[in-house]
Amino acid sequence: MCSTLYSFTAKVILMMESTCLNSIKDESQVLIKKGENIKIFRVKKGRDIFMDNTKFSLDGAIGHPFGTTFDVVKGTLVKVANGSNKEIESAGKDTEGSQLKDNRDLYDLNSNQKLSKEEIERLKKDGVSGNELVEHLIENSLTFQKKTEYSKEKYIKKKKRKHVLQLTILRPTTRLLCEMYSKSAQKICYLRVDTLAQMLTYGNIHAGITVAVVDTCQGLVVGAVMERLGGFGQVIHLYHESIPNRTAVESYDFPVEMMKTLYSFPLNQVNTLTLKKATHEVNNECISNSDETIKDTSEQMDLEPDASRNVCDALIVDKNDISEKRTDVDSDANKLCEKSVGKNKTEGKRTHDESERKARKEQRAKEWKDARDLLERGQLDCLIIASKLHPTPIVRALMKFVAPSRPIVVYSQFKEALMDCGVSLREEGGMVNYRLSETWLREYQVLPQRTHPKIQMSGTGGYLFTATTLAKISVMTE
Amino acid sequence: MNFCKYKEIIEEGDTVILYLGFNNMHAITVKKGETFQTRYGALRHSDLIGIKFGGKVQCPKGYLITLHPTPELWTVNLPHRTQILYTTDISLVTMQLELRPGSVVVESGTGSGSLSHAIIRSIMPVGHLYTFEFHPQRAALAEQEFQNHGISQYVTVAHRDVCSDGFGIENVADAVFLDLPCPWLALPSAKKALKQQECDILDGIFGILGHSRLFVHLDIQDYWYIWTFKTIGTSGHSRLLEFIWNILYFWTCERTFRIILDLIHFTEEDCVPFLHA
Repeated sequence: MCSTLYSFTAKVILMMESTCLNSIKDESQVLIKKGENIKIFRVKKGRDIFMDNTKFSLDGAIGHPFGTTFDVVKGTLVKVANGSNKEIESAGKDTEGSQLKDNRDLYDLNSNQKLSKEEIERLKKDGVSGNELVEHLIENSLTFQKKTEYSKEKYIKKKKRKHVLQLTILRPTTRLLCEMYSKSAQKICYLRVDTLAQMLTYGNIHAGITVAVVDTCQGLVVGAVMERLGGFGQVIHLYHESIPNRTAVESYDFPVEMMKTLYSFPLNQVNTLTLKKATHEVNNECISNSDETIKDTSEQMDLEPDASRNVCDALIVDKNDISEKRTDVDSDANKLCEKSVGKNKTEGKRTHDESERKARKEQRAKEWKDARDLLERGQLDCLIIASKLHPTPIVRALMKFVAPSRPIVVYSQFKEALMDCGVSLREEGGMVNYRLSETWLREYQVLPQRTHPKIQMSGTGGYLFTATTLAKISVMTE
Repeated sequence: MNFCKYKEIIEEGDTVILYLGFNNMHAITVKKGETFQTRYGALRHSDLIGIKFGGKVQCPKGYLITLHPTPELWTVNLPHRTQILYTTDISLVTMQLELRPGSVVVESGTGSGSLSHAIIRSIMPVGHLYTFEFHPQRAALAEQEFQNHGISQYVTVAHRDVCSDGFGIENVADAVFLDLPCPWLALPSAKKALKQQECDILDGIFGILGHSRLFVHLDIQDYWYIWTFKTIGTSGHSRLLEFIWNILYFWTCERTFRIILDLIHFTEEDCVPFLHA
């Protein structure tokens, strides 16, 4: 008991340290936000990245805390001094008193701006800063002074967005990753941030539980669950292709200890799972608190050195990844691939390939066995399904492994699939408190006297179906 | 019992959610000798002891189901002392405040503890919640509830008016959540409560829930990202998100009904110019 307590505390400290670190480090994943544009990159010393038609290096960010705003100056990042943004705003302030202006005499012509495109380019080349350039544009605009105060503010904002290369570096978290993925929503089955938030809440995801996640959203849901578990507990990712696609999980930069709590199991083998008979001994094992489960897994997961595991994962990710993030996020995966390919060439391709493939197979078989053991105990605390596959057969196959009085959360892009799922589950019985819901999310622009909903609104965030399991009839007390 | 830790068998002193049917649930605390009257007859509390959570309990005229308490079930079954936040809003708050085990959260006002339970669930076992309530009875009730639910080690309830007296804590919080009539009064103190960093950048996140007031012009330069969300009938600022419950399908005895709740549109009169201190 003493030793488990010690290892538990040590684990806590380790996880807290790694997850609470606030400064940008080399080799860490960062989210770069420039205006509305948000993308993920891996910081690599000496390597430039390409964003928004600008090439720059991230070295200048290393050591600064997450949340810092930087200027892009000659291909490097320079931290923005506090208060430097305030100067330009005053240019918009109405000095002529509160004269009522409107746009009845304003015509939208290209000739309103006296500076030509070439002149602007030249100014930029001469090293004029973004703010100064915006001031030049204001001076050379024929219509600027005739605009209302709000219109002037909007104009300045627009010009700044285009010419002032300012970006903010953020730590990858679920809500920011959702924002990033919303631009390519198809990859995540059109899952929206509020729907994902509800999945995590209705699923009662908290530290210490065992969650099974069926995820074809590039691992975003798996990552979100892991973030909420904080390393305490286990996540089993059930995947339907030959290898799990979890690019989003990479983005979180979870420490190695936390990644050990993630298991994978192929969906096509779910039918081979058998529920272990609930004997007293099995039950006692299962009603374990987080320390014991952590102890179990750390004993079971007797891993080969991390490097080889990373090679496996890197190769796996490399094969599956078709997004443009590949060059940024998986640059080290590529490096490792190149390394191993190079190795093959020099050391004799066939034998090395064979042994590597064998090692990978063994590794995978071991992972599957661990996941299988976890599943077959029948003590899952939550089942979350967020996939493009029809949920009904998946839920029916997996619900027997969920402990009684636990939530099941099913997400689908289409309500028909969930209606079918709900009807099927009602026929089967064994669950209560069914709920099918959809939420709307509307963003507002809030400014003095200009508050209104934004013109564009998300059309769908998908649908959510939740239910709570009951105790199995055979173990029910009368 | 520990509200936030799953348990298998009901014991005395546990909070149990009794499920009688759709939209018909009750939360009770199991005490030997007490009886709970239901439409299926009387349920003796002692009959519950020893039963599995998720199991059925027989009553003279029918049966009911016992469920393990979760913050979500608690939210729909708790005794209301104030208007509470419901799970949809709570889930977005939890997401936007980036809560996870280890987060330190400051909350005001506590109210009936609906959001508090959800926050504690998300931040335990290594986080902490500091919650402030200016009504003495509500503060005491909340503290009692946390104790009954076995989660008092994760929360500190303070009876304090944060708008006039501030939070009284500095440099501790990862996130601050304000649900007050005049949250801007508490804002300077809330800023201090957040963890400070060398470069004067606050990495903490505010969530401000306003009840039919609009706070505008929170000096944006000083706050890189303040997020406020809006529920039906209330308003917020800056990056404002609003929920509309759209379609809820219920299955009850072959009937399905649709409930559409619409947005209450706010007017310019709701706008209150906010002067940054």
